[in-house]
Amino acid sequence: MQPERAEMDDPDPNSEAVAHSHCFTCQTGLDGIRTVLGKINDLILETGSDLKANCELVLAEVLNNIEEHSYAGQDGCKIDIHVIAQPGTILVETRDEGVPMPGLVVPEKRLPHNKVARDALPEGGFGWYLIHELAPNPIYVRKDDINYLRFKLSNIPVGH
Amino acid sequence: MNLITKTENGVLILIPESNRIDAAGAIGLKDQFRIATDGTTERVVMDLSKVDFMDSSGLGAIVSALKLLKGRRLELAGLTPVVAKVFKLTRMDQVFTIHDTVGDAVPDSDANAA
Repeated sequence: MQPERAEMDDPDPNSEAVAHSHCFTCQTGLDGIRTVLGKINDLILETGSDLKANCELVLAEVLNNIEEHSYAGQDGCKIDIHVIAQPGTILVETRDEGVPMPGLVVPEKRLPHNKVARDALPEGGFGWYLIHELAPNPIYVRKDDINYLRFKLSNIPVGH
Repeated sequence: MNLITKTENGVLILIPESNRIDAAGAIGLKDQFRIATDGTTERVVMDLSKVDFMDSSGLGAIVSALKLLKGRRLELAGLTPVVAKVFKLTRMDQVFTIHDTVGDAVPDSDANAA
């Protein structure tokens, strides 16, 4: 029997050989974000439930931010999403043509205070905290009127 | 998003009908919560056992629901792993009373009622 070119020669679980690359496009408004999250969720079924759940949450926060801030809540605007899934790691790049991120930087990681009077409890401001927590060091680039955001999720536990 | 409402042993139990509490459903949840709790005086427990996804907009809706109760507690029950993770990472698990299950939140007899 002729052996296939040996996978065993390459013990690196992050080998390019097992990476799957997929592109998606989502329209803001209606169920656009929900729909694309569902499609991406189906794609990364095999990579383990914690990683998959984290990816869905981070991507939801990123896409909600683009819809709400970059496109100012306008319906029918395009967001491109490129996902590279491989065992233990998911790389994501989003692209949108909305307004630039303020100061051309990713908002910092800051958790809203919870030790405040009930009426002062935060109802927002958690999104970027969750993104930083689950996908450390996201990279933002603005080029040719396009916003690019790249982030990586991995199964390695995130330290504090 | 609809909220199913029932009263068990003097506890008002609210069950979101959707399995997702996200940006698209957050405002609807708050409105339904206001309608369901307006004029009530019972303890309020939200059963989240059917909710398998919640983002920060959904969390914001639950915080705003708490504020609608004007001093009464909002108790939560049956958090699935993803929902529990969002509460824990944002430390909002310290703001709510969280029960493992609705059964843990509802007294079997009046003698156990607070």
